[in-house]
Amino acid sequence: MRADYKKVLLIFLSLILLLSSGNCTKRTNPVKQAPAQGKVWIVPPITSEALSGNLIGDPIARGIMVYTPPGYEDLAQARIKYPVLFLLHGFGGDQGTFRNIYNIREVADGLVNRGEIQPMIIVMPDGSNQLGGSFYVNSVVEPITLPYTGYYEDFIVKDVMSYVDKNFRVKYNKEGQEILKDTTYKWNRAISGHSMGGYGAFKIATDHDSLFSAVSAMSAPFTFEGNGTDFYGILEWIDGVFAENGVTPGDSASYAAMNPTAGHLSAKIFAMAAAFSPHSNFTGIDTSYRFLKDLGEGWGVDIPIDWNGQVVDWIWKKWLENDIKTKVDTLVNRGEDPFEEMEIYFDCADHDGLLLQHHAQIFHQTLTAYGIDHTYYEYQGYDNYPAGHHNFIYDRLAEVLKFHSRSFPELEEEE
Amino acid sequence: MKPKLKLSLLLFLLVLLSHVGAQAGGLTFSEVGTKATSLGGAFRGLADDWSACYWNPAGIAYLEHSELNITAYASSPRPTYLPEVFFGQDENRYEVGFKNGIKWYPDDKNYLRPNLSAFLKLDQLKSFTPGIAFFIPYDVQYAWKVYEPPPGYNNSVSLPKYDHQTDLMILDFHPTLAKEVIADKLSLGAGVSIQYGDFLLRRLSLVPVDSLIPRPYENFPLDSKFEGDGWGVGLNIGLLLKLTPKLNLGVAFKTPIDIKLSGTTELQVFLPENDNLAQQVAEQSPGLDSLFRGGKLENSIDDEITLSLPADFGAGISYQYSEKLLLLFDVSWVNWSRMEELKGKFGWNYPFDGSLKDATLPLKWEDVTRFSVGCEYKPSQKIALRGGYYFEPSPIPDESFTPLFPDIGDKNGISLGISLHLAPFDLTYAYQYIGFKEREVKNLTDINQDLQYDNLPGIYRMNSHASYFSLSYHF
Repeated sequence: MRADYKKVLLIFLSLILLLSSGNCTKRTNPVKQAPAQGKVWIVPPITSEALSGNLIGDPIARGIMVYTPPGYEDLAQARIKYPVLFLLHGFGGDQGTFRNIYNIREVADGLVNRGEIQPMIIVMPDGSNQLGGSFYVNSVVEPITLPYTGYYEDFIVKDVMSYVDKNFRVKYNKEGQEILKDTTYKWNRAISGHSMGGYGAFKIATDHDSLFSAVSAMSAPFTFEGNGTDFYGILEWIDGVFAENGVTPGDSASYAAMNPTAGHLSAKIFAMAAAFSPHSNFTGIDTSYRFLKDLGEGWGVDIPIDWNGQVVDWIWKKWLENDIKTKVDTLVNRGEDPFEEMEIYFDCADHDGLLLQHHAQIFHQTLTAYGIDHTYYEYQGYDNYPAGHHNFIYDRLAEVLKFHSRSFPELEEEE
Repeated sequence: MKPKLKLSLLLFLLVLLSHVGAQAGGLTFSEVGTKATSLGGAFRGLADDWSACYWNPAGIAYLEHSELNITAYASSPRPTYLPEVFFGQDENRYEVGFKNGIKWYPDDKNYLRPNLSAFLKLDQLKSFTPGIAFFIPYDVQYAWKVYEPPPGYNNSVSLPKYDHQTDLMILDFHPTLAKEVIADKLSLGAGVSIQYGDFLLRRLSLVPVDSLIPRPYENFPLDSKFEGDGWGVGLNIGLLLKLTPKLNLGVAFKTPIDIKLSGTTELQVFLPENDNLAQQVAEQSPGLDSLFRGGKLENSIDDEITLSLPADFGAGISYQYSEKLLLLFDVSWVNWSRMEELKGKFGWNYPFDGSLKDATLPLKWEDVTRFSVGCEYKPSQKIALRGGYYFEPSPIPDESFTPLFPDIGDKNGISLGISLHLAPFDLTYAYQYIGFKEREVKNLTDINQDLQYDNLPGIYRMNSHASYFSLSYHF
């Protein structure tokens, strides 16, 4: 039987047509929905009573940035009030650092949208001054009690907190909940920071343990003295400060010419001196270690190291009064709890350029020895990108926010 | 030669071949020839249609008539990729922009491809059978979007629609000549592969910037796209020995082919936009701040890449078990280890310091061995029913595995087919399903230590369906 050519060809072409139309279906990739966005409010400068009268003449009106979570501005959610985290920037930064460099909005939005943290308000105040950073302490010229750089601790706990309480939907304790001391803040307030800000967070939290239910720090200087055996805290920087300034130990002339612009370690030491040991013009004060005489109409700062690189005890004593580990030691020895009903978290990079991982390790050992519950995490980078003082803050912020979210009571509508 | 001795020799050869390589596939998931496909590729010992020019050109000598053939096939490979790309290890692992934890598909396509051939059986040519075929031995097309810059990176320029893309087609124009050397006993055949290749390869890699730059700005996404074409030539030879009236042995070899592709490489580095960071960088490294103000750096260069296609050595037997039943077995070795790397002639400039970097994509593929079995049952002279199976590992190691060449893992190919003999036509159909063993790539690897990772970890899955139709006209 001979085939009908046309019929065979027709069959073949029909099959080809079938082949081209009847293949596997095309699959569709998930379409990414635009994520709900929070907002960082750029609050116009508020006039601070705590900073008024500072001798170095820094502005007393300071800006604040406030992150509010997705949904904050929805009318339907207008009755929801939120817990608050005070987030303090590091040395050389300002209120915009976490927004502008470390993407706080993107980090927090992502966590909120994925349900990894509860929505919260994050307050980022300005702790800068003309020396690079206030260390968030009340800088007092003694014994005459004048504000040298200003009362930054008071600025945070009075001016900033009251402004936020009045202008944002922050959460208060519900009626019937146990209220410690005389505050309604504690359970929905927490404080954190990076580097100088982490130091400030622990300083403020231990000074005002009734105000915060949790404290955390990223890469913070916890111990000015170290352990006194193989690590000497901030004193480890002194060789670097001398090198930046070209000081040869024993040469008082080169020592006297030291200045904060010589390098990053010098800048930090001078700023700490302005925070902890501003010089007093009161009669009888030794002027041998006085610097920055022109700043603040002849007042200046006292550096706690002499030209031989030795500690000047009477100045160092003032620094230690502001040291976190020393304060914890003192309170514990006095039988007091430095972190009364407060949750504690801190972390540090394993290659911190300021050696702050050793601070954190010693502080971790101290808290452990005292039986104070806390979480410490030393993190690492990856190949060719070691974790340093600030390059992983984008990631650490997420961990800090998760920690504080867990420490806050669950969010609910409030009358 | 006594039958037992022949059989022993045959088994020895097959065992030898099975140990030649470690693992076959790589750049295609379709076969050449409808009948060969329906037999799972166990065709070297039979080689009785036009596709013999690919499988074993000696078989062409036994064509009974001159033949024209047209084949069309459609294949639908369906890979899936679940990225798990982090930098760092364990609890210290960091997101770098790959869309982890979500199952992604490429831009799915169904390919419809033709094969054509013509062979002449003329008395004037005596025992020679010449012919020419056109087929597509390698064909892959995948386009993926599996990356977007991390939140906060804020690039002001959109990244390309696809970040990993392969579009490779090799066309083979294949003149073949076969001769029956000993009547009804031995034939030899040889062919020339004149191959034209058209290749597009696009991938996204992350260029490290500087350890002082904070995350998520520490790596810049680099889109590199090569597009070029070129020619290459190779040979294939084969013999077909009729050991007994029922048992045939076929042995075939294809030479490796280098296709020199000339074209253009386009490079685009997508820069982050962060004025505050730019300001900080300006204070420390004046001039480099422009790298943090968004936009992109781009460059286009004439380039050349050599595609080193493998040699292939295979042997097969066909055994006429009964008048109606034919059994077939093949084993072949493919030296995919020639695919050592894809190396561009030129490099690219490192955005941070302007230094020249090598633009090599290491592949480190491995040789593979493929096993195929097939059978044909003819209930009548007009109908033939066929089935086949093959097993073939993937030549691609975890160290260089990306969605660009998704030969996921061990492949199990199952095929079915039917032929209708409607003289002077043969109408043939085959369907093939290929199931792939899931692959989990666990660790990022930088094979050549150029600070760019050469694989993409995650979970890969795949299957593939293909249908083949052939119309042959005998005269």
